[in-house]
Amino acid sequence: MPKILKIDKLEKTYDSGSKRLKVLHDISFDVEEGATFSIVGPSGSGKTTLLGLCAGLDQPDSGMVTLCGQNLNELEEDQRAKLRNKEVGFIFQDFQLLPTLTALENVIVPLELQGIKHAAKHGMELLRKVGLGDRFHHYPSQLSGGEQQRVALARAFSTSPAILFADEPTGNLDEDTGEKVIQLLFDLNKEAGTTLVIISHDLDLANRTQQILRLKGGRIISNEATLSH
Amino acid sequence: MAWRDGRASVSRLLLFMASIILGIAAVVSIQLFSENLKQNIQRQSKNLMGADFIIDSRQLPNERVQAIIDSLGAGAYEVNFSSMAAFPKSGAAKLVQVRGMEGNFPFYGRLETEPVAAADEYQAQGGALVDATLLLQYKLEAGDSIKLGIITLPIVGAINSMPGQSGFSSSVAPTVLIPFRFIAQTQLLQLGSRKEYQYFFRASDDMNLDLLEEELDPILDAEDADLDTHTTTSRQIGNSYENLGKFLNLAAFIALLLGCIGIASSVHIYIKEKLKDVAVLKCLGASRKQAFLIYLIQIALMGLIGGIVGTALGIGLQYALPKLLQEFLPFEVEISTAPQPIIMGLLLGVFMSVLFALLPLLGTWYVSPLEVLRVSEKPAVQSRKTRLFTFGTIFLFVLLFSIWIFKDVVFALAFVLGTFVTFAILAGISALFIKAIRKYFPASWGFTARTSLLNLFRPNNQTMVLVLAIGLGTFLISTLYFTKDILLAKTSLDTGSKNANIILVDVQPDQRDAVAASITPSGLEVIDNLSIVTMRMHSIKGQLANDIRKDTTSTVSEWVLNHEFRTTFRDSLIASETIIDGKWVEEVRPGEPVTISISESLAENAHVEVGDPIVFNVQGVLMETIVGSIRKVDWARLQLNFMVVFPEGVLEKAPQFHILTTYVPDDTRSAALQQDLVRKFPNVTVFDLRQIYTVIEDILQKISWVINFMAFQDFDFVDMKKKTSLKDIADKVGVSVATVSYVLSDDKKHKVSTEMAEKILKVAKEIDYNPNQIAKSLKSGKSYSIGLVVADISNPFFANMARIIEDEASKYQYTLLFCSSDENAAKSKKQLKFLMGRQVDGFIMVPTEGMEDQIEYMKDGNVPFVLLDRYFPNISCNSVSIDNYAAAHKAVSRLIQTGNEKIGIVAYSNSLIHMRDRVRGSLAALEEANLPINEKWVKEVSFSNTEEEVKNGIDEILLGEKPVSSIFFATCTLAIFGLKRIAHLGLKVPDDVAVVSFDQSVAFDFYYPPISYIHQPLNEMGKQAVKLLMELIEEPKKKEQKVFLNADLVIKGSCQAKIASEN
Repeated sequence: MPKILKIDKLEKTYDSGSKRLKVLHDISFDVEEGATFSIVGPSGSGKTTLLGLCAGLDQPDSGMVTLCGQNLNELEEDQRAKLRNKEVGFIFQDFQLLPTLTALENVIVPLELQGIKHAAKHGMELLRKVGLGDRFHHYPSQLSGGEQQRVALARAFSTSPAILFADEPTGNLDEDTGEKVIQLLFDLNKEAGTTLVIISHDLDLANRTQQILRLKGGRIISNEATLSH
Repeated sequence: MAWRDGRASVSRLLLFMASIILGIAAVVSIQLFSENLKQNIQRQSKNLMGADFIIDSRQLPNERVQAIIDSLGAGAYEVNFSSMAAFPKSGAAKLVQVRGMEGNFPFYGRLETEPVAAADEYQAQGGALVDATLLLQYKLEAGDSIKLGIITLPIVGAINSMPGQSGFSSSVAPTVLIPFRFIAQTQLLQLGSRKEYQYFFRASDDMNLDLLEEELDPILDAEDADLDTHTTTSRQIGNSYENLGKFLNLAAFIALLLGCIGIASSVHIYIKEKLKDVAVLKCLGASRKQAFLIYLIQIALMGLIGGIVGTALGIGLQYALPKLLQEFLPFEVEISTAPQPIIMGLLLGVFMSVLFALLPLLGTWYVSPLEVLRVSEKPAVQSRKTRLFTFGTIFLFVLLFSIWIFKDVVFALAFVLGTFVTFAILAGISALFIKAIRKYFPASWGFTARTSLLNLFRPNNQTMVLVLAIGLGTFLISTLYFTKDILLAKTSLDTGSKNANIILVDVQPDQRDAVAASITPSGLEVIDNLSIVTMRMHSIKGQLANDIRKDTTSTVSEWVLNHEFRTTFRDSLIASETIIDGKWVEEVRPGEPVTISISESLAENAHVEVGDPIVFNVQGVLMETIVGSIRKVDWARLQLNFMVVFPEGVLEKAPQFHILTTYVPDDTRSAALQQDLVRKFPNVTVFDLRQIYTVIEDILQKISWVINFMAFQDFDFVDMKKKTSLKDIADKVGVSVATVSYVLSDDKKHKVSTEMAEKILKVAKEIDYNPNQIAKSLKSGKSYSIGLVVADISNPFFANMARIIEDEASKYQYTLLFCSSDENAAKSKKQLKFLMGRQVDGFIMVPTEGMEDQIEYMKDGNVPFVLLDRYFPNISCNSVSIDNYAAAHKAVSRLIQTGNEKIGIVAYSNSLIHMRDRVRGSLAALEEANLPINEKWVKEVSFSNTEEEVKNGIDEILLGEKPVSSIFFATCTLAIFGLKRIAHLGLKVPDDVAVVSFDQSVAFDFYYPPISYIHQPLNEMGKQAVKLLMELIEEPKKKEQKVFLNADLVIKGSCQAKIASEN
């Protein structure tokens, strides 16, 4: 299988007050195209930092990230943004919908950023798919947490991305709602063949993916396939 | 996307929109308003000149000048020169200024003549118009004739005033105006005679006179001609007009800057909130440009909308303002809408919102998509370069805009720098403040105080933004405020209290003292008494004037060489002069070089500096002088100013004449003085400058008014209620409402001539106008005095009452001012006015009949007052009185109880409620006792003729067919007059007639038996009245209270039971 994400000897340090804090030590791993992959670890283990680097939101001190065949180090900020726009989808713990846009408008933001016009139809379809066929014109503040996350899900899949990063996707949801969202996530993965990278400290969720990368103190302590697969 | 995001944020950007709208509205309306005012004021200055512009030349225009004149199309022209005129009737001759006029001059203002029609008819009739003073001097009138050169023309009228005559400046000879066609016939104009040709032009609306002047003046100058526009004229009036323009622009600019501050601070807060969204967008793949544009377009769009709304509002205001203020505008403002401010308003909306939003907007450029995952502690770092660039652009914009608006680079630079320095200082102060709180944080404080203080420096605090916005706003507004005062000071005519308005010229040395002696006895003052020596320039810096004339390379102005200088000598500078170079020399001793002082303009035109030699030809004698000093002369001051001033000790023996000036307050005195002087000194020419003063004063007053208005100062909105009266006076006197207001409010800041002030006061008195003192007294705080108006202070009842009120008021540190209305409403009106003028804080009044409108007026004006003793049943207001009905009922019942069946009643015949109640109460008592009511027994007397009518009344009811056995007097005064008559008739109280009086009097003590009376609780009434008033003064809107007190009957011997004696 070709690798959609290749991480090679990643190091990252942050300034924290007067101290320099090394968050990631020599991280290397690969994710296969169409795979489901999870990164788990306790708080402060560097999961989110790693996600930021993988998606090209941040730049490493050293090491290399190859996303969809592109070496991110060689790309400018706007080029990375373009890459994200075309190939990457995001799901965040706190949804990160734009509060000033309606559900439908939120969903088609990535398409519109590509300059695609008349994306509304596609957006509606996606919203129907996630069960929000009657919520097109609601603002995020008028939606429940689960609904918001489903809008985010529709947004994430709107550009049919090659890879989707989900940062604690159920963290802010109750169990039932969370389960529904996860199910949707996996369904969409199956349907569209989108690679799924989930960051979580929920081991049950992690166990449903094909591969689990365990982080602790900024180091990889294990990277192994799950039993279920 | 930009639209979608903005749509939901409209409410959040309310401040932003409001800032733009108000800023633009202010700029547009002020610009339009100032444009209109400019036109209005220009119209005034046109009136002074009579034309839009004038080309003048010392000789018949050459081809080039004629070509220019032809191309511009002169509407009228004249030639003027000095000549002797003879008056065949008296045989006298006099030097006059002949003006040969062709065309219908003036185009603006009026040629005022006596008879009025003469101005229009002299051309057709072929007659002369002659200066009014000259006619007066030689006892001439229309119909007499004047001989000019070899022709004789009929005099068709007297010239009272004429545009284009700026008083003393051009000629000292009185004007004779004749049709141009007679000039050749007079044969006075020979080759080489001194004359001036003037061509008068009317400009089209779109003509830029300044540009015209700029372009044509150098060309004309080269041909010895000159262009004057009415704008030059208004400039000569002083810089006031320009200052006004600058001030208006300053106000507009400040309004705009305030708007900009609003934009910057609101966008700053807005964008700060939006940064997280920007991070999300970037995360989803938005490029920096996309993210930036989303918000830029939003802001620009709102700027455009704001610009449109603001411009519309500005235009609306422009139309509404004069309508709202119609009564106050000292002049008619014709409204027109110039396109320039509108286009500017629209552009400005977009431009200023984008520019001032740029700095916060740049934040969107630098925000990292990583912010989605975590809130970084540090805000996105903006590059120093971009920040500097943005600040630079803002600075440049503000500077360019201010240069455009002020049209003065230095001024604009100073203002903008000042603003930026203030900005920096404020930023520094707030930074220090935040730092100080952080450092010296009062940890021991309670939670609320601590948290509120902490928020001043916690992340995302707006301390800096708020301090900057408020501080800069305050700075700008106070700039406007202080500028106003400086400008107003500049806009007054003169520092001296009186400007000379009568100038006497050609006073010979031997007449000098005698002329002065004729002025002073009539109570007038000799303001100037100057010696004038005329001379011409013989050589400048060693070069002869004739040589300079021939020298084509010379830049010395031609007029300098031709001018006949009227010089004077004195040892000190006058108020209109300041030395700008060299040293003022007071006196020169024989043998010393003659050091003179010349004006700045002369120095420039003659190209001389301090130390340069000039030789003057003093009527044939050459005098060598050295320029000792150069003076800046404020020609705007209507004073006798000189280009050349000699020190003392040089010219005393030179042939000279004298100029004396004085100030006369009115027409009559002016005429009297002129007649007297002309009779005694026929050679003396009298100039009456009062007309010119009026025009100039009027212009200056208008300017002052506008300045005040723009700074929202001294603008008496309270006068709105009484506007008709103010306007009535203004119309009657023929001045502006503002002038009337200045005079009536005794506003010393605004100069109004004594003459004018007297006139205004006289008219104000005539039409019985009370400058709204009510509001004034309220406005200016407390005077701690109360006005007490009673019917008659000599009446013991009121005297006692006054004393009680006085004592009571003194407990509140108040003093009383008393007046007696004599039951006369007209009188009480005057008294109220007087008391208001004395700024009393409130009134206690015993109202009289017909005073209802005064009471209503005071009520409307929120004047605190309490009615005492009486009240008007149909006016709800504060009052303290007794229950008169019950008291009268009690008194009459007593008479009934003591066996009286025939009861007379003596009361006043007025309609006042207390009196009516007393009568009604008495009658009710009779009715209740089933006693007959005989109309003849009820005597009502007038206040004005009380004693006589009481006497007659008593006679009728005691000596008539059915005499009464007892009388009830409705007041103690009535009782005293009544008892006097009873005693006179030899009747006994109570045996012949029983008596009860309402109120007591000390006089009752002298009666035996003592008189029974209704005792009014004076003490209580006085106390209550004062108490109510004090409450009202503190709280003028307090709910109205009507206090009724009970009165007792004090039984004395005058109404003892009769039953025994009758039996």
